[in-house]
Amino acid sequence: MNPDLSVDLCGIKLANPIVTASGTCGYGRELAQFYDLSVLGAFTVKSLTLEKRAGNPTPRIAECVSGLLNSIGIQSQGVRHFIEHELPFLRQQNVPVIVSIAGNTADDFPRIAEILDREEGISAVEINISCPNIETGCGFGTDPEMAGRIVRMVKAKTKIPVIAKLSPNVTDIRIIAQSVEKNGADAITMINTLMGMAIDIDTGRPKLGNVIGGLSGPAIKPVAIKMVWDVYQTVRIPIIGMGGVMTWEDVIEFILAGATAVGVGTVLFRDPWVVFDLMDGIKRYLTERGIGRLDEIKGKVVFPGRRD
Amino acid sequence: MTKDKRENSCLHISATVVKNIRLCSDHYCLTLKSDILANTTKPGQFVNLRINGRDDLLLRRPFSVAMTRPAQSLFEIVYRVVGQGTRTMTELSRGEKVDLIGPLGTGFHLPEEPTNCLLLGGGVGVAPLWGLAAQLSKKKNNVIALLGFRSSDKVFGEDIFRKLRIEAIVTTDDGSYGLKGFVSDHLQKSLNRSIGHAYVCGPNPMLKAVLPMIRKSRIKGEVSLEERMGCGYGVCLSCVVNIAKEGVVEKKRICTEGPVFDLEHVVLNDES
Repeated sequence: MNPDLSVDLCGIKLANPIVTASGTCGYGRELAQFYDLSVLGAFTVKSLTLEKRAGNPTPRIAECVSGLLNSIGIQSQGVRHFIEHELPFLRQQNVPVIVSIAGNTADDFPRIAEILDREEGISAVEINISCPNIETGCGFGTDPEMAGRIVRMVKAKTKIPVIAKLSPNVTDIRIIAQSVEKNGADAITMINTLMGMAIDIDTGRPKLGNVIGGLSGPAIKPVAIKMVWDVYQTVRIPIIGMGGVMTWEDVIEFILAGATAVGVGTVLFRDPWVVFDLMDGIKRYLTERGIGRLDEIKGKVVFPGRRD
Repeated sequence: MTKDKRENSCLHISATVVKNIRLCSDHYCLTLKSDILANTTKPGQFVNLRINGRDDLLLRRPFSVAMTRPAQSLFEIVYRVVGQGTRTMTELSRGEKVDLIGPLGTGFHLPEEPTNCLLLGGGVGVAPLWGLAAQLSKKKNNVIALLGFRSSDKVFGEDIFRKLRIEAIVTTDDGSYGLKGFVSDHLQKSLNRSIGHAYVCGPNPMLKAVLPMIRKSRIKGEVSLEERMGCGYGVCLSCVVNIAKEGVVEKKRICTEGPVFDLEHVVLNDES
């Protein structure tokens, strides 16, 4: 038996649930040195801004216990540069491409979406309203009305499916999820990084040039699983679950919590080839349990003593 | 499905530990066996090493390749013990396998014609100059090395230059070995010796002192830079430096467009 790993993400057919997380693999060229990108379920590009952006001062990362703090700050060549120099390459990779976009202002989002709408070969637009490393980034995604408004404006400018990437730095993520769904989001990506800070006790200085940053890696996985589970029970649109995925067991856990697809990010820095292990592990898990399709276990958390 | 594409420039390599010896108080030299890395790595390129048995450490650790010995399929890296990763590395023993990605980054460029070359190294930054010195000597360049260390217990690698019959001047900050003072305190004398090409690798404060002096003497050259790295292969955009070319300043990735840059173009960060 060869289990079916394909999933349907708001009408986009993914050959498997593994999606790269935005900002962790550039525009694909580096990863493509190692293997064909078509082995992935989908490829998400680093967030694009309307104009060129320099990003934050170095040091931009600090390793923590089972986690990674970053404050890259969306270094970007801008959307037009992407269309001219990067998109043609991605179109040839035979993998669904998710284009992440970020704005300095709310109005940037529909403007970028309008530019992308004219282009072939984009499977979805992911709106990054949750970057903790730009002044306004997290603000968009922590206010339900603002999050909804940006989704609505983007939807008005493009026919490409729109995915909202949510911030975990909120009191109740379900309220944001409901707002983006109500305003037309086709899917949700969650979670972005958790805001954090680290201090070098020898120098007394913050470990990051930008002082604060976003925490990723296995340290945040239980937070992500809990939030995916919460949102899965609240909205009907599909979820790309992410946050600290290192192994195939983590992928299964996210799917049990209600994710349709699962993002990998930080793990790629150490092991760009991990996607093969993830796929092998998922297949084995399903085969051993006689499950024909991965989708069958979505959201199937088992509660002892409870009957559905 | 194949995991590697063999035609690619950098690869996923399993290398075997041959030796792991202490060079001085906190520096070690790790000799590894890998036919492909020993034969393809250029001076100045680096490898990104996964720490065995420490999956809790999320990132690999990048190290410049100090020296290659292609005939024996060997290469060496020098590391300073600074944290958990490098401390764990001191336990590596003969026969163990290590997981590497490499060779990564750009290497040093050799002068087209033989000339007088000045190598400036500081601390662990001396290591990548070993292989460079060997190549420069082989190509009939006249090489002078000026090597700075904090104190006598941190001095290493002087013998490598001596064996290549290269004049190596050693300085220590406290004068406990060699000349007293920083590399920059003793640089002018060397710069006056009609140097055709300079190569620099060392900590940021040293670079800040020596780069302006070299530029002022109108000597061409290259510098190998260091910055905290995430991936080592160009995707995370952590290890950037400002590079000024023809009046335009752009962020470049030290792991991919570097670590070696034309020293004319490097704009060092204010923080160090």
